[in-house]
Formats: sequence, C-alpha cells, structure tokens
Amino acid sequence: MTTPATAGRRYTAPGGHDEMLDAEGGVRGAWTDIAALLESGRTGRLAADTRRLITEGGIGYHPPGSDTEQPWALDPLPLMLDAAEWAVLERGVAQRAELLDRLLSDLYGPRLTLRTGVLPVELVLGHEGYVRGWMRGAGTPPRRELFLAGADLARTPHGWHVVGDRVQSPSGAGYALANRRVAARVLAPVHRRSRIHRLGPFFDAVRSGLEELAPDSARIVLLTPGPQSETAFEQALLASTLGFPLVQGSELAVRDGRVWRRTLGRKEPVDVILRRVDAAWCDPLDLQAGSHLGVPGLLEAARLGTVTVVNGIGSGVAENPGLVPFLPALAEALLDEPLALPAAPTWWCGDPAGRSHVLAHLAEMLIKPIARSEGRSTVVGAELSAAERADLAARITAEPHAWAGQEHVVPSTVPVIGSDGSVDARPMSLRTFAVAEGGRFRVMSGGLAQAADEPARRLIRMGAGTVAKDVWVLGPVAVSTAPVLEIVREPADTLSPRVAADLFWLGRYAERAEDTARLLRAVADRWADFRTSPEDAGGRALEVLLRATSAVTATGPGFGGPDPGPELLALLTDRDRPGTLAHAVHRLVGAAQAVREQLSNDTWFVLGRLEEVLGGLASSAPEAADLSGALTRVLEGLLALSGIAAESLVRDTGWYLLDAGRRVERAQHVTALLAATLCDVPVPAADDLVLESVLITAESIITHRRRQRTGVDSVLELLLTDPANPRAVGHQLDRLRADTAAVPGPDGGVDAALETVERRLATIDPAELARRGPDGTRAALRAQLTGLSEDLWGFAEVLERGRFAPGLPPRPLGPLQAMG
Amino acid sequence: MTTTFRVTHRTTYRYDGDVGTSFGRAHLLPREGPRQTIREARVTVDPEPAELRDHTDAFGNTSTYFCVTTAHRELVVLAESLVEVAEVPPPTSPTPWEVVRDGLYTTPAPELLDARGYVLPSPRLPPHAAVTAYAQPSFTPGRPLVEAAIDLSTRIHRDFRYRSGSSGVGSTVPELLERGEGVCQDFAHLGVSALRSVGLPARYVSGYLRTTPPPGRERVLGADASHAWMSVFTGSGWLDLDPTNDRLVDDSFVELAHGRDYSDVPPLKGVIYSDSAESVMQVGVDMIPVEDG
Repeated sequence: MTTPATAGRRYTAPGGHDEMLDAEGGVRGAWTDIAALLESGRTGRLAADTRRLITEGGIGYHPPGSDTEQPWALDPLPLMLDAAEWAVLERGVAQRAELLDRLLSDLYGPRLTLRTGVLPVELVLGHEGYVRGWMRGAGTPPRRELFLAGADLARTPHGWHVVGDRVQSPSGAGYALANRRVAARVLAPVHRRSRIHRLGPFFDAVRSGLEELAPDSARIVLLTPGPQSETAFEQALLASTLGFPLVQGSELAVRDGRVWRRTLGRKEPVDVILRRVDAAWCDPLDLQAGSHLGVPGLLEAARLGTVTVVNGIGSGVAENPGLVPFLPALAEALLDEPLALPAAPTWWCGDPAGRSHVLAHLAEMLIKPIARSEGRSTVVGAELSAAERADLAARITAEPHAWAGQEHVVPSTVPVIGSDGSVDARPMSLRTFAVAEGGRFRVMSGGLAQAADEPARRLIRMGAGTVAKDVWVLGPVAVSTAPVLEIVREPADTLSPRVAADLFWLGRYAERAEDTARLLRAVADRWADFRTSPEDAGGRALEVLLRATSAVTATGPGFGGPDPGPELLALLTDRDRPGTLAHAVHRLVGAAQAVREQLSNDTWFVLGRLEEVLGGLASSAPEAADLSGALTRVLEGLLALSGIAAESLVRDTGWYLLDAGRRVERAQHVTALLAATLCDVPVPAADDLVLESVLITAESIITHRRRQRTGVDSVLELLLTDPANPRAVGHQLDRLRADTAAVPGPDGGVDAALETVERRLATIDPAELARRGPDGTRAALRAQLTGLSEDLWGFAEVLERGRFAPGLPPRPLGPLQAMG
Repeated sequence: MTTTFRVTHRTTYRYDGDVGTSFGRAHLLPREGPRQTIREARVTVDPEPAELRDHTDAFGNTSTYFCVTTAHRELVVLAESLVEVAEVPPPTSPTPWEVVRDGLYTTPAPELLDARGYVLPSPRLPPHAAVTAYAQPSFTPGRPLVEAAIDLSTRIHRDFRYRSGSSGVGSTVPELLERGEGVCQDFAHLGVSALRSVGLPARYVSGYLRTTPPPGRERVLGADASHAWMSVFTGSGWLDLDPTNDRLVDDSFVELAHGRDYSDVPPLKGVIYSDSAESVMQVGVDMIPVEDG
C-alpha cells in the first residue's frame, strides 16, 4: 500500500541508464534492499542520521578559498554493484594502473614509446606534468612511479568508460573509508544482511605496498600540504589508519643525500614518502621556487635513490586526456595485451585529424587541457556562447598539442535523497582506486561514487555541487576474513616540533575557551540578577565585572552604553575578534584539525556541538538567561573535552604537551582575573559580590565557603599559592614542572624560565598583598600580579621557542643573476 | 685552429644576518659540444659545503648540487674552467625554413624527436601573438633558414637597445617588445620565442663571451657577466646566433648549458634558511685566452 508520505518518495529514472532501475522500471537485483528502504518512508531520517554521524566524526572537506572546513556531503544510499560486473571493472582498473606505471617508467627512463613513435613527443614534452628533473640517470634501475592510481568512471548506455585519470596524488580513498563507516551505521540492518566486500584489505595492501618500497627498513611518512588543504581530513584519516606520521614539508630536511624527519630533540631517516603535495610544490630548490610546502633537495635525494617518493614527482604527465587515443596501442606495446577498459571517445588536438574533429564538434564535447593548471580547466562546449566558442577555437589552434576533446558521454543516474527526504535521479561518476602491492595492482573493492546535486549538472567534481556515496560491491565472492583494520597511532615519542606546537596550542585554546566561558557566565548571571533586583550594589558589582571582562579577555574598548547585552553577545559569538569565546573555540577547532590524527573520535563529536551552540546564538537575539544557558552547554562540551584528555589519552609526550598548554593558559587567566578585579579602589558594598563572582569564575567558590573564610587574603591564597587547589597558579606550576620534564628535547632555557615563575610565586604573601594602600588601591598586589603575568609569558615563549620552534621558512638564495 | 680560454665566474651573496643552511643548484660547468672541449672544470663553494655533487641533467648539461650547513653571512660560489674552442666554418645550407620545419615530422630519428621538444612553448616563453607578428618579416616563403635566422638576429639587434640593468631577470618577452630595451637574456628569449612561433626548434644557450676583444676588434656587449644567445635547429644540427652583438657564435664564445629558456639553466639558484632580511649579490666573470692553448 502506498501512503501519501511514501508516494512522494517514489523514484523514477529519467531515461538513459539508471543504476537501480532497469529499462522496464524493475529493480535490479543488487538494489532490492535499497529499493525497499526507499518505500519505507524513512529517507528523511536516513539523511538526518548521516549528517549527524558526519558531524560527530568530524568528517570535513575544505573548499578551496574558504577559511573553514565544511561537513562532508554524503548521501546515505550506497551505489550497489554486483560481483560479476565488478570483476570486469576490477580487471580493467588494475590493467589501466599497470599500463600507466609502465608508461611513466619508460618516459622517465629510455623513452622508447617516444623513440619508436608510439607516442608523439609533443603530448609528453608539452605537458606541464612532465618533470625533466625526474629523469632517471643512465643505468639506474626502473623505480615505482605509480603507486596509488585513481580513475574516474562513468557508466554510459554502452557500459563503463574512463572519463579521467587521477595519478598525480589521487584523493578520495580516505573519504571512501569514511563513507563506509557512516553508511554501515546508518544502514546497519541492510549492511549486516548483505555480503559486502570490505575495504580493509585495500588499506592493508597500501601499507604493505609502501613497506615493500624500502624492504630493509621502511620508515614511511605521509607528506601533507597541511590542515588548510582541501582534503586535510582524509589525509589525517589515512595517516592514522596506516599508522604512518603525517608530516608537512617543514618537518623534513635533506642532509647527507637523504631525507630526515625532525622530531623533538632528534632526527629520523625517512625511506618512503607517500605524497599528497602536488608535484610542482615538492621541492623549492628544483621545482616551484618559493614553495613552503616542499623540501629543498628532495629531487636530489630521490635521484640518488635514498628515498622513494610515490606517486613519482613526474607522474602528473599521465594525468593527460590526450593519451586516451594512444592507450590501445600502448597497451599492446607495453603489456602485450588489449586494453580492457575503454575510455570515453577522445581526440587529441595535436593530431591534425583530431583537431579538426574537435573544432567541428566543440558544442558536443568536453574540451580538456592536457594538463590542468591555473586558467586552464575542462570546458563544457555546450555551455559556451558563440563568441566563447570562437575564442576557445583560437586558443586550440594556437597551441593544439595542449588540448583534447572528449565526447560528452551521458552518465548513468542513481537515487539521491534530497534535504526534504525526497528521492531523485542524479547523474553520477565513480572513482576507483588501485594500489601497487606484491608485484601487481590491487583494486579497492568499492570506491568513491559522486552524484551531482542537480540533474542538469554536466561535470561531476569532488566538493563542488556533488554529494558522495559509498560503493557496495556485493558477493557471492566470500568476504575476506582478515582481521578488522586497526588504527595504529604514531608513537608519540617521535612527535615533530610542529605537532608538538599544535598540541600545546590545542591545550591553550581549550583552556582559554573554558576560562572565557566561565567568566562570561558569571557576568551573565550577575547581569540577570541586577535586572531582576536593580540594587545599587549589584549595579556597581556588574560595572566592575564588565570592566574586568574586557581587561581579562583583552577585548577593549569594551562595554559602552547602558545595555551590556550586545557586547556580551559579541564576546560569545564574534569569531573574528580575538579574546571572544567564539574566537577561542574556532582556534581550538583549527588546532584540533591540525593534529587530527592524534585525537580520539569523541573529540569531533564534542567540538561539533560547541560550534553548533555558538552558531545558534549568533543567529538570534538572546536574553541574559539564554546566554547563561548557552554558556552552560558550552562548558559541558569543554568539560567533556578535558574529560577525554584525562581519561582517553595515553600519558605520552602528546598528552604532556596538551596539559602544559592548559596549565600555562589557566595560570595566565587566574592572574589576569585577580589583577582586573582586586587591585583598584574599593567599590562600597559591591566588593563582596565581585569577590563571589571571581571565585565562581575560578571554580573555587565551594572550597572557599567550605573553609569558612572571608576576605581578599584567603581568596589570594586559594587562587595563587594553595598547591592543593587545582585552580591555583601554584598548582599549575607544579604540573608544568612535571609536563616539561616528560617532553624530550634540549632544555633550551625552559627549566630556568619556570624557576623564575616559581621563585616569584614563593615571595607572594597573601596577607600582605591583601592590604590596601593609603590611596585605597592594592599597588603591591598589582605589581606582583603584573610580574607574575610577565614571567608566565616569558616561560611560555621560551618553551615554544626552545622546544618546538617551527623553524624558519625556506627562502630564495638571493637575487638571480641576469645574463649580460 | 683552436683557442683555449680560462673562465672564472665568481658569485658572492652577502647577507645582513646569519644563514644557517643554504642549498644551491648551479649550471656553471661548461658542457662538451661540437665546438668545445673541456680541459678542466670545477665549482668550489665557501664556506665549505657539506655536500657537493654533479650530475648530467635531462638536457645534457652538468648540474651541480650543494648544501652548506655552516652558519655564514657570505657565500661564494666560484666556477673555474679551461675550455678549448674550435673555429667553425660559417653555415651555408640553402634549405628553406619551411622544409626544415616540415621535415621534423617525417621520421622518428632521435635528433628530430629531440628537436621537436624545442618547438613547444616553455615555462618562460608562452606563445604570444606579438612575438609571432615580430617573427613574420624574417620568415618569407622559401627563404633559406640560415639567412632568415641571421636576419631575425640582425633585426633584434637593430630594433632593441642594449642597456645593462634595464630589465630584471624575470622580465618577459612582451615587456621587451613594449620597452624597446633589454639585456642579452631578453634578446635571446625573444629570438627563441620568435623561431618557435614559425614552427622551428629553438634553444636558449647560456655561456660566456671573451672579455677582451682580439687586437683590432671592437669591445663587445655582455662580456662582463655571463652571456646568453639563441640556437636554431637547421635540419642537420644547431646554429647558434648572438642577437645582442648581431653575430654568429664563433670561437670567442664558451657555452655553459642550454635548455628551453632561462628557467632550465640559471647559473645559480638556491634556498636558504635565515632570518636575514637583505641579501646583496655580486658577480664577476672573466674569460681570458691562454697562450699555450
């Protein structure tokens, strides 16, 4: 029976090949369970569950040009493929990777394919991805050029076709893994029932394939452009899944003809680099000058054979649509077998016949530069005006070898769940992955499917207007019983200075957010009290606290006008203003993303909630009580975060760094809070209220009451010198002693700097400092707190510079010499 | 008849702060060629580098890598060589330029395949309509290639003013066309780009020109620094022309390296780690004939 709710979820295919429905509208065998799900009316729920798991998992994608990561867009419905069909595809994908590897090996070695005329030299030498510095010296043995290959496929009415190769440094394999983790949970009953090929064996093959590349001692790293990279999420996921350190170029150095990795106090040799930095940026000496992402001398080390870089620095030349017409002949020449998997019909414009065909059919083609670069990307011929078409034709005629035309194939459609739960047919493509291991290419039993967000979209690209899908390859082949892929965390005693600095700042921002939230909540509560009973004392106390808030958070000029509401809200939600809660949370998330592979999965769940609460506030005009409630929710999240650190993290170097960051920040905060509230002339009747707020902010009110003491001297003792109070500055110093002792590396003056702070604290006499001078202020207290604050800054700076200085960025040698 | 030259090329960088590490890549050792034989050649770096090694690059040039790990404020890279240069008979081939151009694609002979790589645009020399237009008057139908190339070289010499320091090392060919003045590197780039625009293989050559002219000859331009010129494929070999001095390259020239353009063969480039803000470069080149050659 069809209810109105499910009727709207009826799925119809628009014609052409549909993945789920056959030409008669019947459901294909592999899709039976999915079709039943669509009939169930639960599609909206599936989409919501998927979004929740994405947020909780911190699965993100960083669109180019944006300053923040956005949640990865995943459709809950997987692409279903049956085993027989997959077997054919698998063979074709493996063969293509093998072919491109052989081709690269030839192009950077004997160049027989050019010398025998199988390939035109223009197609290779005229491609920007052909790196002349990557040529093997005469007599050196062939090396692995292609390790991880990606191929984008589309199913046309005539079967599967390759529409693009990704062999430079293909992305997406990590996202395929993330997709699987989410889809398997959202569709748990179906997933359990179905015999789905697992992804684990592929990643095991990646790991052992990398180890094979340096059989004697494979010290492997994954080279990342950094946390701002488009696919930073999956790079961290890959590193933690494979158990290899995720490193930025600045953490590596070439010395004595080989690559080394800087760790705290040591350097470790590197044998294999799995590269996610684009080839041109890998070496500022021999490639793109001025690159900060690379390692000067990397090409030299690779040339000497002391390090293996995969995919090879020159592999971009095989990411070349102009190669397509030559692949059948290349397969015969290099593999001695026919090409198994066809590509979408493609013409290279460097060939006169190809050029005239493309120019005559511009409107029906995708026009592709043989090498993608700035100002040159794929053009949809049908979307061009007559003038644009003429312009493109002129560009092709001027540089024919640089262009190819691909027949615009009509891809198959697949059901996608919309935001309202409706299900629509969308065009899709499938990215497959193959990895070299054990002398052959192994294909991931699955992949990354991507569907367009609207039916008319003609190009399907990662991130831009597309939604990802998991790919389920069904039995009957027995599912491997290999052990579940374990997450191997990098041994923390080999942390690099960069990771150390990020962990330290992660601790600082977590504490800063917590301290700020407590302060703002105390102020919001005071404000709420004052509004309900506007007594004189309350009003003055509020005034003192507002001034103190601006001072402690360094957000001057601060509160102007009679209504503190707008500024208070800004201090919660204005992400772009240093000192605010939102700013601290934003930096906290950024620091966490920079060391993602070091953190537990729960972290993302907590961070996601924090941003949600603050985001919700920013878009409304809340009352004081709302602010206090929101701050309580933020605090809950932040406390959960410190709970994760206390209970779920191994006490290794990383933990001590995180803790050190927290301690430095907390000591600073308490010092600033006392300086901003207790040093000025007394405000009659308000002082007790202020003192109470200070104790609440410093999370010490209960202790103070229990001790049944009153007065500023007891507050100073409790918050400065009492070693038993986990909120006291003295306690933070004890912890810093232990933290810094546990972090390896040269002392760099850290010990002495900490001693300076300790000595200052030891001279503090609470009773003495609590006394007011003749002018009513506590000048001695102010002087001591200022000194303490300076000493703490000094210590933090020495710690950063001495233990995990990031090092200087590479720069050009100097001006280049012009020729006469 | 040969002449032997002693060439010294000293580059000094001075920094206003300490440089901790310095990586360098040099194309400062002359390559063997049909015109020249290398008798001695070496690069020395001061401070003493932790690593210094040579290899032959994809263009057949000698490429030197070095890494200095001693903190320094002055880096000196000194290249010294003894090169024997032979006289070459002037080219006389009457082959029209179109015949050379079309002949490139007739057989996959190694020298033809190699030459075809030099027809393509290169990093510093993308195709440009103004360059194509500039080339046209020299390449009239049926004109012998040698004559057309010499005409192009002569026109560049005539149309542009040589002014030392008038352009930066990063200047482009359209900038030269715009400004009307430049240095040898700009003229060579224009020539190479113009030759490619008519479909001919052309290389950029870096090298030296003898410092003091033989008795009775005029002083030449560009001799107090490293020099650059162009080279065109004639169907059977390469013809080098110096548009800066409007002359064929002869036994007064020593070739260091060649490539598609400057970016393939800069004499010296590198990467340093330093907090110094300023650096000053000083270059000294001498090319003196030795008596007992």
